[in-house]
Amino acid sequence: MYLALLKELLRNRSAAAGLILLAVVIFAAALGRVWFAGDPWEMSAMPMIWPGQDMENPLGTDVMGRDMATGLVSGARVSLLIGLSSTLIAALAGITAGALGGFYRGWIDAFLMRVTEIFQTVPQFVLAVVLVAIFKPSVATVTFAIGIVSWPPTARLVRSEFLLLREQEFVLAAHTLGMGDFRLIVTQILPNALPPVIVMAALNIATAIQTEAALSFLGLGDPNVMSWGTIIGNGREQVVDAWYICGLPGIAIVIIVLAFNLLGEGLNDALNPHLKER
Amino acid sequence: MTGSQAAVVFRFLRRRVWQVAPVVFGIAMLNFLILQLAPGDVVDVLAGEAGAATPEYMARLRVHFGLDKPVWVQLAYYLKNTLMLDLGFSFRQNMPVLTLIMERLPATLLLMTTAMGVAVAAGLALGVLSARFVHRAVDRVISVFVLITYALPTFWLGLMAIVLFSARLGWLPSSGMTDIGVKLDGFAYLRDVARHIVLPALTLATFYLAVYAKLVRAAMLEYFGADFIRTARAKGATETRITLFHALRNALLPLMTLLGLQLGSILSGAVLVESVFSWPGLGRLAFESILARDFNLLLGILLFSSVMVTLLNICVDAVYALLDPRIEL
Amino acid sequence: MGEFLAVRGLRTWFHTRGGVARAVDDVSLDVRAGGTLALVGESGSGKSVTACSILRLINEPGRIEAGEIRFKGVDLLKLDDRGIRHIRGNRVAMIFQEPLSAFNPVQTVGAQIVEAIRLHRCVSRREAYARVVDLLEQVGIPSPAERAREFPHRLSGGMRQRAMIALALACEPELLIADEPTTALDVTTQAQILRLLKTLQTAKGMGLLLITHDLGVVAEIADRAAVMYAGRIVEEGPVSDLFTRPSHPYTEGLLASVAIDDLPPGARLPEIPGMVPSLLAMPKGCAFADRCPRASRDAGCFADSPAFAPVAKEHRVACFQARLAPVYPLRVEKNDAASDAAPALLPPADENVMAVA
Repeated sequence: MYLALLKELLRNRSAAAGLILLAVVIFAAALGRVWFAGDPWEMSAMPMIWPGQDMENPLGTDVMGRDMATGLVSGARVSLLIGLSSTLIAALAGITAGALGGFYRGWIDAFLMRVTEIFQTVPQFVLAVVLVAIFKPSVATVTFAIGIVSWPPTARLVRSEFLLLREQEFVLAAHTLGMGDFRLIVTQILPNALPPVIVMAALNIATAIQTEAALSFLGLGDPNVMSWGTIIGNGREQVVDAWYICGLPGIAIVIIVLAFNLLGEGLNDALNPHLKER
Repeated sequence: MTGSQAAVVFRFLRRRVWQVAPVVFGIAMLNFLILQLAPGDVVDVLAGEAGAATPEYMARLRVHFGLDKPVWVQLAYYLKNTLMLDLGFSFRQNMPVLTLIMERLPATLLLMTTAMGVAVAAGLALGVLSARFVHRAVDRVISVFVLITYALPTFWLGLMAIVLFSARLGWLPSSGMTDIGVKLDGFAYLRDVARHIVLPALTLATFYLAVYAKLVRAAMLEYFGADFIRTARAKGATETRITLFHALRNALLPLMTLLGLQLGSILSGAVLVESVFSWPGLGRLAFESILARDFNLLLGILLFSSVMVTLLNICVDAVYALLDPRIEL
Repeated sequence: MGEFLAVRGLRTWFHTRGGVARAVDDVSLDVRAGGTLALVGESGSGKSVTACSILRLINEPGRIEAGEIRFKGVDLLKLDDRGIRHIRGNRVAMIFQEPLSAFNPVQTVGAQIVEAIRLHRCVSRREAYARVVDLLEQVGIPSPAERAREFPHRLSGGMRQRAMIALALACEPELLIADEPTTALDVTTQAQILRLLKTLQTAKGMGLLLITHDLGVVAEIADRAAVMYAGRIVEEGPVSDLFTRPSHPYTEGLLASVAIDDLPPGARLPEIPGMVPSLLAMPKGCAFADRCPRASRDAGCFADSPAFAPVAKEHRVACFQARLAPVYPLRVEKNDAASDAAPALLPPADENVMAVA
């Protein structure tokens, strides 16, 4: 089944483009780990060397003389790590809330929907800022904060899928066979509700990476980790004189976000063929 | 709008404002929860790093939050304060939080509405063009533009815009809302603000513009196949007329729905854009409070901006109902 | 009198992913000035596509591949955009089957009729509005001035279809195309709308092309009928002749299973065993051969598609095995042997729905 899906994805133009971009980023990051294995915080040369001027620092140095290439490679790892893990948190929280609400309905559903509504009303990024600021910036708090602010759409989606699926005959059949609620949810309904959730997760990774970058840009990133947002934040005072310091990591963000957006769109076409026209 | 319509709108607003209460309550609970879970005692958190605030201020805060009392009493205190719109005091700025927020609110609202206006107008234009010339060169160019715009981080776009338009080309100012040190009034003042708002508003608008263009294109294409469009065609209407008066008019409805859903996200975007362009609004205030570790102010901003989103949402719903005669207010 | 509407060799094909669907394949038909032609067939037989092709209202992936549509000597398929727009709604108007979705949901009924008028007539908004109220009254809508200000969803199904008729009549067209105008309505309303159409047609001397799958409607309104099957016309002739002496086995099958004497309005085409062939994969021979009781290899039914040839005066059929069936005991014959079969079948007029000026 996965092989068929992969084939379908490669035939889809946007998914193929997304996968290629993603592969390029991962490849560059992996290769970069070997070539630019140094400490991204180490001041290795003169500050503000422009890209291409010095072969020791092919992408130049930042305002403190730190190597840009090393920083970018480190940023790729941080972005992917936080993007994926916070999406995982959001997906798990969203699936749990949506499944409980959609399956049991009644007051559980009413309560969970209220909570979802509140999380959707609060400006997501502002909430993330508050959470990270109060719980002290670190990779863990940033991941957690991004996960916390991005679960509601998944919850709504899963809930609506569950409301439809729980009335289906195969669910009723499993229920009459005496299957417990937990097994029913996990083995019968969830697999059928998953395709749109996967699409949403792919798009969510893109948003999470942008949110992470924005947080570190505001100085709310892990102080021990060099992420793309951190580089941009550090370079912003000198942006007029040395725009490449902000420019390069920004382009990296655009590429990786583009990759996940394309992948999400492609997955949508492949997994929900009836929505193709939209 | 006729008099009776105005009365209906008024009744609708009054009813909806009551629905804000539970949301405010929920957000206050959320804030309280964050404070309880945070490391250290509430006052330690709110006063920021140890030693940053005076002992008198800390003592005042402890009374304010009823810290000597059990948790549920603290919650009651907190909710009471919040519902009375008493958001506490900012020791850094030496002013009540609500006053600070109110001072910055107009700038944020101005930025948000301008950016939204631009995004909606440009998104409609691009979406309509795309749909009208679907699968042709115009459509492809717009689609690629939308795809890339959608991936641009707002704050980065703002920085790049400053480099290009203010540093290199020198066309527009890069920060603030007015020129510093010049006292202008009347028309000259408005012109000054208008010059300053161009870059931040366009930066904030870009992402939403892409979203709206995509949505409008899809909606228009769906409507082009609709029966009532065929009727219009059978009447002898031109394609342009059909596009503008029939398909576009209907595509405004999903656009309003999306706009309502995105208000929170727009406000989030404003926070970032304001910190890039030093726009003196809520976002800039939030940024300052992060730097100063002034968490009481930060929580106040969170609460207040959430309430603002709910209120703006009511306005969007009212506009939606005015646009769609099938919806009763 | 010269020809009024003449469709010749029309082919409208849909280029889908699965292949080319020949929804309309070599269709020819005529509507005479002031006359009514009913185009009959099961759903999916290509009636609506034929109707929409006349005003070139075919959307992608559909395309008119070949043919001529001559309206008073002018080929509509050769007109430029301006030319066809001048015809649409002005000289040829159309009524659609779903009156709710056929109206723009966010505009008042009145505004939509005003638009139709002002697209073709140089009149002020006020004058056009007065005409709208007048039209709504003509089609029997009570308190027309108020109804004009309503949005479509506020009107009942019957009222909406009357408003649709008013919209079509706005510019006093010479030809009216009605695409299943009564399918979405309940039986009583259906009868009222049909009577209204008939009266208006007589009063204004319009030509009428009526698309329907309802044999009762055909008998009630039309003077000529064409039967469509799988994108082609299989038989065409005066209603009286066609109903009493069907020549194509498909027509015969349709009529045989219905006691024509008491055909109520609203009767659907009865079922004939077998399946309509897929438009994507049409058989080589006659499209009906697989279901046909008379099909024979010797006659070439499975090898070639039959030509359209006369079997009686003004009565043509596309069948290798065509023969005139025995005369069915149709009441029409006793009263009225002429081409106009409708009056004899009309139930007693219902006075209170006849609000025609």
